[in-house]
Amino acid sequence: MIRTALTMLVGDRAKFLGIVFGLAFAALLMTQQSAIFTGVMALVYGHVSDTPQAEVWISDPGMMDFETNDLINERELDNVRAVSGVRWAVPLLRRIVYSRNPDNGISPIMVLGVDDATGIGNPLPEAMVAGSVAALRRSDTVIIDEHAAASKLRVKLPAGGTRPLGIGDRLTMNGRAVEVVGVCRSTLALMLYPTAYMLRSRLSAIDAGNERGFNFIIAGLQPGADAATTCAAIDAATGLTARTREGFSSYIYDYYLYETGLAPNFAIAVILGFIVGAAIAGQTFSQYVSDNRRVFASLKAMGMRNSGLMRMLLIQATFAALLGLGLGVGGATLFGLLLEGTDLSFRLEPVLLLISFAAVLLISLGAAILSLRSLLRLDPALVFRS
Amino acid sequence: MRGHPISLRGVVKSFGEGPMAVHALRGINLDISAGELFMLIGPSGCGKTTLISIVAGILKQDAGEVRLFGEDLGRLSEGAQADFRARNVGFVFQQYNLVPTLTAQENVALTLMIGGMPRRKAMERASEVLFRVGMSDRLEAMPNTLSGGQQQRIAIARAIVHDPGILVCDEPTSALDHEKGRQVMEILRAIAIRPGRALIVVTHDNRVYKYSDRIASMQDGHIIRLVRRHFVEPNTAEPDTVDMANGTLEAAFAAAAII
Repeated sequence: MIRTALTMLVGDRAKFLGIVFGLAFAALLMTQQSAIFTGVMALVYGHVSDTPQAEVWISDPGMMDFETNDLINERELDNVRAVSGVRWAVPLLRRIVYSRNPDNGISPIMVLGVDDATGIGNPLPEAMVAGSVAALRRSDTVIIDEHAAASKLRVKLPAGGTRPLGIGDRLTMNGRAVEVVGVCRSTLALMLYPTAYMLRSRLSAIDAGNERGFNFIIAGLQPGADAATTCAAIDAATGLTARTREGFSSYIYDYYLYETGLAPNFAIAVILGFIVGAAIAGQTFSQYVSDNRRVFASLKAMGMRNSGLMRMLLIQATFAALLGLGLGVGGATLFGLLLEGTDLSFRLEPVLLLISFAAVLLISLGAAILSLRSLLRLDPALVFRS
Repeated sequence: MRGHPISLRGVVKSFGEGPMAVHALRGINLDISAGELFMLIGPSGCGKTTLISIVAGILKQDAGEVRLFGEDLGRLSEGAQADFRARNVGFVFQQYNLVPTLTAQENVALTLMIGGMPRRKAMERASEVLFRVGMSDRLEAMPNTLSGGQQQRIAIARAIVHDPGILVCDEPTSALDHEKGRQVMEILRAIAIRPGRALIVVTHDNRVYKYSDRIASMQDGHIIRLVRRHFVEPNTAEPDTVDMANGTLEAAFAAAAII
C-alpha cells in the first residue's frame, strides 16, 4: 500500500506541492536561521580560538564580552606572573583604531597588540597567507586579516576597479603610517571590524592619547598545574577574573546567548518558520483529506480498517516531510554556499539537521494526525449519499 | 446450508431522537437469493439508501437481524465488519468514487490490496477483470480521461475483482445516458451475476428495471411491493412478460405476481 498511498498524494499535484512547499519553507527558515545563529555564536569567541597558546584568560571582573571590558592596570601583570602554577603571562591589547586606507577611505579596525618580547597572541605561522609574523618586529608594521583585506579594506584603483589590500600597502592609523607586512586567516569578529595585529608597544604609541592598560592578560600554566586552582589563585591575588580558555569561551558565548537579544531574535525567526510552515502544510493536508473524504469513505466501505487509513496517511506525511526537509535543507545549504567569503556567518552543524528533521516531521505528522481524527470518524455510509 | 446470502428480519433504523426522529426503516423483512439481481426502487427518502448501507455492512441497524451468508453482522466488531466487507462485499457507486490519482488498473487492484494481496498479484488480477469488462486497452488511463460509462465499468471491475458474494450498486446508471446505462447493466448481468452471489441495485432509472429478477418498491421505510420477474434479453420481445420499457412501474406491479 506504500506505493498506492504515495501515488494518491503525489497525483493530487496542487495539494502535494502545497504540503511540500509548507514543509520546505519551514525547514529552510529553521535550518538557515539556526545555521546563521550558530555561525554568529562561533564568532563571539573567535579570537580566543585563534590564540590557542593561551591556557588562561584574565580580565576585569566586569567583562561582558571580548569587545566590552574595562582595562586592567599594568601592574597586575606582575601579580599574575607571581601566582603559583603560572608559567608565563603576557598582556593583550585590543583597540579600535580608525585607519586611512591607500585609497583615502577610512575604516575602523580592531587592532590586537601582542607581547613584544614573546609574540604570544600573534597569528600562528600556519594562519599566515602572505608575509611573515617575524616582519612585525619592524617598526610601524601590521598584519591584516585576509577576509578584510579582500573586502572592507579593498583598495580602489585610480584607473577604476579594486584590488585586495596587500603586502607593502600603507595605512594611516590615528595619523601614524604603518605598513602591511602580512596577511593572515583570522576568525571574523562579531562586530565585523577588520582585524589587525601589531606589537603592543606600537599599538600603545598609536593609541597614546587614551587610557593606559591591558584589555586582557593571557597566561600559560606550569606542567601539572591545575587550571581551576591556578585561576582561583589569580583571582585572589589580583581581584581580576581568570578563566580557562574553555571557560572564557563559554562565558562569552553565554553572555551573547542569555544577555543579548541575539538568541531571542533568531528564535523568533525559527518559531515563525515553524508556525508558517505548519500552517501551510497543516491547512493543505487537511484540505487534501477533506477533498478526498468520499474516496477515503469508499476505501473504508470496501473494507479498509482505520489502522490501514492511518498507515496510509502517515506514509504520505512522512514522505512529504522527507521531501520538504530535503528541499529546505538543500536550499539552506545553497544559501550557505552563496554566503562563503562574505561577512555573514553560516555554520550548518549536523545537530541542526536533526532538529530540522524532527521539527518538520512533527509538523507533517501533526498535520496528518489532526486530519486523521476526521478520517477515523468518517462514516463509510457517506458513499451512498449524493 | 447457510440459506440466503442476504437475510433481514425486522430491521429498524432511525436517525435522530424524539419528535424529530426520522424512521428510515420500519421493520424490513427480506431475503435475497444467490444468483439474483434484486432491484430496490422508491422515492427519495423512502429508506433505500439506509437499507443498502445496512446490507453492505457499513451502517448498523437499531433493531432486527441482518445476516450475510449466515453471519450476524451486528455481533461483529467494527474491524471484523471491515474485514467481512473486504472479503464479501463489492460496491458500485453512482458517482463511481474511483481514486482520481490512480490508474484504472490501480483502482481495481486497490480492492485486492485492501484485502492484503501483494501489489504485483493484485495488478495482474485487476488486468484480467478489466479485460472482462472491455477495458483492457485502458489499464493505464486516469479516471478523469475516461467517459462516465468507462468509469462505471472500472467501478464494476473494482467491485467484482475480489469475487464477493454480495454486490451493492447504488444508482449505477443514473449518471449515464441511455446507451451507456444499458451497457453497464448488461455488463452487470453478464459478469456480475453468478451462482452464489447476490446483487442488489438501487435505482430510479426505469429503463433498467428489465434487467432485474425481483424488484422491491419502498415507501416510508417499508417494502410495499415485491415483484418477481424473469430476466428478458433486452432485444427480445416476449408479449407474456411484464413490459417495463414504458416506465410504468405500477402497471408492471399490477401484472406481476406480488410475493
